[in-house]
Amino acid sequence: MTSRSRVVVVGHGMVGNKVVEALVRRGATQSWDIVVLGEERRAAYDRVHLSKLFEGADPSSLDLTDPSVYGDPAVSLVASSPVVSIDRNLKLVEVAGGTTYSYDVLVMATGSSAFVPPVPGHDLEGCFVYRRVEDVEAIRSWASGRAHGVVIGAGLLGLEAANALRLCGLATEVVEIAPRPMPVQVDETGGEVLTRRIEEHGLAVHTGTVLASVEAGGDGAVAGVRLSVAGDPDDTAYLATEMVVFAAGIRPRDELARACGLEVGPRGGIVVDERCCTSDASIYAVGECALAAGRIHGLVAPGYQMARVVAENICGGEASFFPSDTPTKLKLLGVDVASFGDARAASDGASTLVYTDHTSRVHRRLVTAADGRLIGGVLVGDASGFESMVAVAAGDMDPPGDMVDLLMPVRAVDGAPAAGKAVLHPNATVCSCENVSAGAICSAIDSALADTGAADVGAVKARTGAGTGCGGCLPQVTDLLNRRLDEAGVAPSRRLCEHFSQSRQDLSEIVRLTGVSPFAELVSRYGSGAGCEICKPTVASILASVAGGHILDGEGASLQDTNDHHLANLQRDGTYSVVPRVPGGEITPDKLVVLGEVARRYGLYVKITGGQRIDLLGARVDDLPSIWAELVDAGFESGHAYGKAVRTVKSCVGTTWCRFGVQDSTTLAIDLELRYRGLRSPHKIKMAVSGCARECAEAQGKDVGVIATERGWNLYVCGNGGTKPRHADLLASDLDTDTLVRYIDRFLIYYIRTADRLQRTSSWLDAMEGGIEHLRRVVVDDSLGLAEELETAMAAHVARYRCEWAETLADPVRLRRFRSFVNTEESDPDIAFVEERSQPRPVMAVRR
Amino acid sequence: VTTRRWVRVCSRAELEPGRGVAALVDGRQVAVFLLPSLPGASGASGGREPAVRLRAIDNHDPATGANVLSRGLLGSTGDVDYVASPMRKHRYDLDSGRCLDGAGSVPGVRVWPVRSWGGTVEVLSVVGETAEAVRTHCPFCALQCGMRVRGSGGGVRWRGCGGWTHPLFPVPG
Repeated sequence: MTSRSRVVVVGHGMVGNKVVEALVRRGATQSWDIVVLGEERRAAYDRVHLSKLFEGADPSSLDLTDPSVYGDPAVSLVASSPVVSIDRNLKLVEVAGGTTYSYDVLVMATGSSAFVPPVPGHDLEGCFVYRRVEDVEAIRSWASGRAHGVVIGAGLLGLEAANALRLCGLATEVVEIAPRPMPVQVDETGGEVLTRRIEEHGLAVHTGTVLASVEAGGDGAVAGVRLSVAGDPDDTAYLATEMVVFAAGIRPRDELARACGLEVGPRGGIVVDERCCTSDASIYAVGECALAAGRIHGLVAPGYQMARVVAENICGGEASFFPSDTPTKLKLLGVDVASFGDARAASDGASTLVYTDHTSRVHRRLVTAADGRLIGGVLVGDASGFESMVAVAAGDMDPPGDMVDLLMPVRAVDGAPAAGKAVLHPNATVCSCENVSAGAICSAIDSALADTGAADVGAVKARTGAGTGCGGCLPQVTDLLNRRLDEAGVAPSRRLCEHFSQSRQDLSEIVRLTGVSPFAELVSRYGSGAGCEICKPTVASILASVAGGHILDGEGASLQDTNDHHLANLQRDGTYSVVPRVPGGEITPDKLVVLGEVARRYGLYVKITGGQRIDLLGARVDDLPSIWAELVDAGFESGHAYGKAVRTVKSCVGTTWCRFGVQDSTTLAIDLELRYRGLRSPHKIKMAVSGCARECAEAQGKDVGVIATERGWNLYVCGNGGTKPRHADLLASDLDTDTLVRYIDRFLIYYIRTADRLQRTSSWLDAMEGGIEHLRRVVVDDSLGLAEELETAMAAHVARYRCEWAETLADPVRLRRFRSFVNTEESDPDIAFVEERSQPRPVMAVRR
Repeated sequence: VTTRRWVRVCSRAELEPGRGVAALVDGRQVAVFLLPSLPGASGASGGREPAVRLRAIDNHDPATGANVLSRGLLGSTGDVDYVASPMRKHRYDLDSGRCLDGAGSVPGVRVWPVRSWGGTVEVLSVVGETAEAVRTHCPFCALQCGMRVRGSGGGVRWRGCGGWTHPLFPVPG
């Protein structure tokens, strides 16, 4: 048995750790002892992911040491032992404190240090580097309670440091001497796109800018930096800040090597050959301290490659390190940045293929050699297909016939086909709020398709403004969209929004069948992302119609739009309207007096609505609870004017007073209104009952209209006033009251379960295959066998109805949201009124 | 003279995930939001540190003139978290204040620095600021203070209402 030899590894960073690991894995410990001398208190950790510490990770989660490696008795790790000198003649290293270790083979893995430009003030209190766990801890503790920071350097490390400061809550600015961020990885246009992306995160990037000095304040700590324009040192500006983080590159730590006479490069770095051997045959150097093939390799991948080469050579093998361009793909500040090969087209005869979309901030560039081979590329904002590109460039994959196929972003397509609908003339106005024609919408759809390969309602809204006003035209916009997509051969999507690919109907089924109820669970199991102003209220409505319960209970509060959240209708000046229920439009003189008194006491504007009730407008959010307390005391209840719900049942006076009446329309209207009050639905539901064929209650313009006949009631459905008036269709004739109510029960629940979001009954019926005939078969003939289930669902609703306002008033927690400001009892000072025709009228303050 | 100070809004516990509150801060209305935490989210993109879920912007909706943004619903599109105004559904990016709708015709809103500090939510108040602010997001103070950054010529140029220095950070001496 030969005597054992000893490898000493100087430095326990990522690469030093890899050397040890590679040696142990190769079985080197059978004949070698391994000593690792670490400078830091900590064993090797993942420096690449230091930023995780700012996201709340524990430093121990970055640990890289493998117990099976360091558990080997031949391996000893000595931490907190910086090497102070190397004696190459005696083959000894000495660490701080005087202990010496002899070696047969020495591996230098001393890494690098952050480059701190030697400007005046670079070492003031409040100046940091971004390199070690300790740096992160120091940055974090200094940043807390401060508001502004500057990062020097907009490379990979600089942007990571900038994001870290941002996560600490600091307004952060990045200073970069080069004309673009990440100058090594991206080209000029890529830099522009990247800059826009970074700025979207609230970070400012100053390119072409040099740090001239760091200036101290009265307390001796950093108070600002003086910057100058690159190439013009006299053009300076002062930027006040509270801390500076240097991330302007690295310098190899070669001081030990210099001191013991190893060859180093003119700009630093321990010179090594392709075997990673230094000028001394028994000393290797790896990682960022090594100058291999004439340059320093700052990424971890080539460092690991060198570690394996050295381990192989120590074990008697013959391995060489051939630096190759490492393809890099990163996600910084949520932005994909990737590059490979000759990204900047520096080779002779190289030509480029470029796709730049400044709107969605995507830049992709492929570089081909004179013979057409793919030799490099840069991707900013969208790195899809990167792996294929690298594979093609490496010859691992056949190049596509047309390189453009590789260049274009990869997109997913989903959705289901839609049905055809009536054609709108191009000049027809669809959105009256923004005055947008059908033709304009179609061309917006076309250009969205051309630009992005996809189009949805959101894209139409963003491009034309249609639907951003009252939103009444959205169903028409959706129809136009589906038609256009159909024509273009693109499958339209019934997806509710960005977060749910399902339609409202599908979601309603999911909720009803699975019973999944918290929104967060629904969106994580069946959707994606965090939700939005479209899917949240939709889900809240589905939950309300399936499960009942107070709409503001639990997480319901965060899903409701402001009308439902405050149980009142938001008006243009930020005040609310109050509309108590007046069933059938019948009201006692006493109640009428109460309404008048409340209006007078709170300075409200009064108007009679089209639904035969009384609208009190101009109520401040703070006043809503006390207004409602008085109303509830007087026997009023919520009128649900704020909700997508059953609103009113309008009526005439019928046989009670009218000379022509044939049935008691008022009583029926009151009964229906009390039966269906509070029913949540895809859109508002209006009803009416007329006592004779003269139709004074205008029942044929309602979602549900009832007209008295000599023999009973005729039931009309799916009428509409509003944007697109539509006469109701006769569903059944001469019904007795019980049958009438059963049919209405079935009709309403069927609509609630199957309609799309914000689809009134009229457009629901228009889109229904088979139209009124089909609806009649379902409701009257029970062709789907659903009648009993639908009636049961309605019975459950009727049984669990409670007045939302009475319940809210009884709950101090729910009452908390009725305040103008969370930090003062003051009311919104900008709400003001003038008098017009003896009533208040809002004045909109013009601010700023 | 411009002064800046952190002003208490409410206790952290008073904020409901997914909703906002309005606060009166030195006479200005600020809407403060707590982004919802998502059980499914993890990793660098989805997992958010609690302190980082706070956002604050003007309560004033420039599209309609009403002080209502605190009552809007929060939503996300791609990586952007926004609030949709309850008035006419204009969406404002909570990180930049930019309006995502109206094709550039609607000005953005101010973004206010906000933090959670010992269980208390605070926003950075700036008093004595120049009124006729240019509506750009200032990197110096994270407010729309009138500062303009990045002029022509490639180099860094900033000149705002306060001349060559920032109104919030005067040159010492």
